[in-house]
Amino acid sequence: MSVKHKEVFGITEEIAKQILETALSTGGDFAEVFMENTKNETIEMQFGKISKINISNVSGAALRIIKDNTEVNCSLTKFDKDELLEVAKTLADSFVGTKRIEVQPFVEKDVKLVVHPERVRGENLDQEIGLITEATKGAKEYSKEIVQIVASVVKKDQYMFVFASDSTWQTDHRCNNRLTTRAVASDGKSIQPSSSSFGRNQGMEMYDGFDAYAFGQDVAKDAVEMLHADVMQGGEMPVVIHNAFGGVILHEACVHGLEATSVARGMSVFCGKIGTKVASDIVNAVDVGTNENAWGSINIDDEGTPTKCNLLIENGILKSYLVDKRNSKKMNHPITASSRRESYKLQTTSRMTNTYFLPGTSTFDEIIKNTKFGLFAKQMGGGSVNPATGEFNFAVNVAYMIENGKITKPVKGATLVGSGKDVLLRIDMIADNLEFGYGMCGSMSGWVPTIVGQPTIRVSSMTVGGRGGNN
Amino acid sequence: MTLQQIINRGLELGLEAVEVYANTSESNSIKLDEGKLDSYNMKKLFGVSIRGLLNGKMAYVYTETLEDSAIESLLKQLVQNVKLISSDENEFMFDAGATYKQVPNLVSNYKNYSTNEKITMLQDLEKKILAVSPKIVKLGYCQYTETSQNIQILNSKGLDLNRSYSFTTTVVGPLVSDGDQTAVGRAGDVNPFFDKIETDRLVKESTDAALAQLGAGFVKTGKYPVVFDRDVATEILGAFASVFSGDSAMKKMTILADKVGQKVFGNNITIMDDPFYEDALIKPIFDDEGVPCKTKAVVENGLLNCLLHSLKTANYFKTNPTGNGFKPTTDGAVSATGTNLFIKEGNLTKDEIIESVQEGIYITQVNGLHAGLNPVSGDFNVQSSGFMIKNGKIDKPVTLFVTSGNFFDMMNNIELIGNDIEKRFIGVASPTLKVKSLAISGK
Repeated sequence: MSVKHKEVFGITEEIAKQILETALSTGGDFAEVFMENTKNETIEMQFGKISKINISNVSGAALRIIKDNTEVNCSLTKFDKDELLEVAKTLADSFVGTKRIEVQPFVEKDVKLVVHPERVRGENLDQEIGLITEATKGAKEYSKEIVQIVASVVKKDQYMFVFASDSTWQTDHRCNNRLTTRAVASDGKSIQPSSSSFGRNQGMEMYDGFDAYAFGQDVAKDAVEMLHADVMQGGEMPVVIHNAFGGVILHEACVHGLEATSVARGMSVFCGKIGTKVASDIVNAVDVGTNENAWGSINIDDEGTPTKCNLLIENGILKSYLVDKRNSKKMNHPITASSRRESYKLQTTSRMTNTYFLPGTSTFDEIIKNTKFGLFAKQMGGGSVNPATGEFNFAVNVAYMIENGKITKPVKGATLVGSGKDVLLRIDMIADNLEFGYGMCGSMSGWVPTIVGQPTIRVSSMTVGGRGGNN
Repeated sequence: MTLQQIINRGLELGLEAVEVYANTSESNSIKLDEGKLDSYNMKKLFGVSIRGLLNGKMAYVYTETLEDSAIESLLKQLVQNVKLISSDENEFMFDAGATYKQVPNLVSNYKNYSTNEKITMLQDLEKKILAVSPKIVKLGYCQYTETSQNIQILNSKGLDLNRSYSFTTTVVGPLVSDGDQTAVGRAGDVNPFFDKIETDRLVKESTDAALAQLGAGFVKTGKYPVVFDRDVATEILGAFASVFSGDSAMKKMTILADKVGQKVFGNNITIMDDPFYEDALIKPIFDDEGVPCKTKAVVENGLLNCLLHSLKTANYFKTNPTGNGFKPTTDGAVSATGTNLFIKEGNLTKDEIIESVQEGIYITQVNGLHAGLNPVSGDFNVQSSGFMIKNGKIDKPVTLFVTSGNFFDMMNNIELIGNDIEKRFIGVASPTLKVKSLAISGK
């Protein structure tokens, strides 16, 4: 690996061992130190003028001890040796007892790199500025009705290091890099925003061959089209959810409920459902941390476990939860390399990486043709779920009505709500056109980059919210 | 480097003015799971945001170490970056010498109590909640957090300000079930004094609504009069608070941008931004640029009096700064946001408002505000649950419906306003509101 622990974090194996031994001196089962040195950069353009360049350096450590079912931990900005030893002692003092477990000799696993950022930053910001300039130009030139454009490149360049009493000794370098464009259309009476993002866990080489102008045009097109769309008339109907960001349905309706944070506490509708039918037979879903330089990929999770492909649902049957080290013991479930945290300031826990439905056998055209009346949700927005009840919601940013097997008029202001235990069972068609969307997922351990994805799917019936019509 | 040395070095490197904003914070958090300590979390954090001015443009850097070489490299990048900023708006730094209102600094007493006393408080709370009904399965969360924070702002124009606050937060979320349906209650108390945490209220509030939600059915799609519980009304106001921001106005991201001096809401709506409001928990006397905070009616009897301004947005709109330049996070840039922004109370109790409704819906929970709500257009479509109201009385529970409307239309159609703003609120508050009619999508 390219990262040298000593150079970046000033920790030798000897010091690491001393810290962990102190931490386990009162009978703890497991002790771990996570360190990071992260540079965040934001370069933003507002209607063609550079309005913001912010740089932030985040550096600190988090130490934790687990004994039986209790975890004590500390996040601290400083991470010199003396400070860490003192915190290890303070945390150990929360338990009463004597040493039960020896610190294992450190073993650095040889990890096949799936994320390898190259050109993280150049001599200057020319490339970043070039991208947001092109995206802005694309959006501006699309229509006179575009009254505002905010384009930005945001990079999170993170070096992390984790060592633990179970022999863990791993480092990783990640660079979450995302171009976002937001456009606002107005006809003088009302205003309508739209936005889109393109992200990878990669350096600036990810934009080689990327057409930022066309990307800007697409964002503007959505804003203008939705500005003139009719307002959605709510009710219950079949819904065709398009590929890419449409996968937010899997993310919200199901996989948040498979995270150990909910399951280990008995707070998920999917508790005790492994091996049972949770979706219709045609549904297969995965969480994959190993897609090459993908937005949600990581070489290792924040506990140092090399990532892999987790099969979550196979032919409608629930196969796996997403589980971190601590909850693995509690749930008696294998670790799935899912432990993630926004930064050392938040406790790490089970989260998603790249999560999507696998392709089916229908085509997009067949799905539309077979739908007499319903909603075509072309571009989804964000959503949320309460895993304990399974009730979820998400916004539809760009939508059309389907009438007699054809896509007809655009509609705005549609929201989908439902219950996670029902909606997956109602998926009756899946297309062969898998695509991905680039999201930020917020949960207990903060904001982490995740891919949501899917081929186009049809749900036989859903509640669609909207304020139009005279119902 | 010390903070003063950072400022001096920034000036040496050619910046016209330099400001540092240092945030030192400590927090401890205790979580229980089934009566036992699940986790104890400590945080000791420090961060410094540095901003530099050159030719009216501003750039920001942030660091968590004051090591010389790190600061030197960041300051050099700052100088390079500020030269790239090309926006038309000019930025400023505030001079020393303003007069600030004196407000007593509230210091929490949590340090006088041991960790064990805090764990016992949570254990007692959990026991009381479980004893309310056999339908309460467990507590999804049962958590106590104590926080203290100090902000220091120092600039090359002589500004040297300091403010601190500390308080405790207790939240509980019981999971209730009748074997068929489940619901999750929630209640919280933000309190500077550990010995005054309102545990009895937490027990009642977290269980009443959740138990009543069991057996919830569906609503028939249609238009209904709606009563928003004060917590829901507060969440909606909070999600739309950016419509009053000078930054949103400058970016043309609010319909209110050019409406100052015009009638925008119904006559009965007055929205205050009052940093010193008695019932607010935090009472800032200066904003994150050092400008004195002040009390103002943003909307008075439906008329838009002013927007919220930082130094930059006030200059852009050729008006005075309003003391609303705040940083959303320590490493972020200043933007114009409210201090204590609230809808002025009416004189009815929640029960009186419900009694006035023949047939309608009382909404007690909304979800997905970040996704289903558009602060630019004012449109909202949010997942909701609550109760039907029949003949002035709360009737059967209902869930999984979508409430749709437009914030600007809605604020012109508020029929009744409650007298029940939450005590010790943080940032935003609303009393119970009755809206003439909103679209409800269900079955």
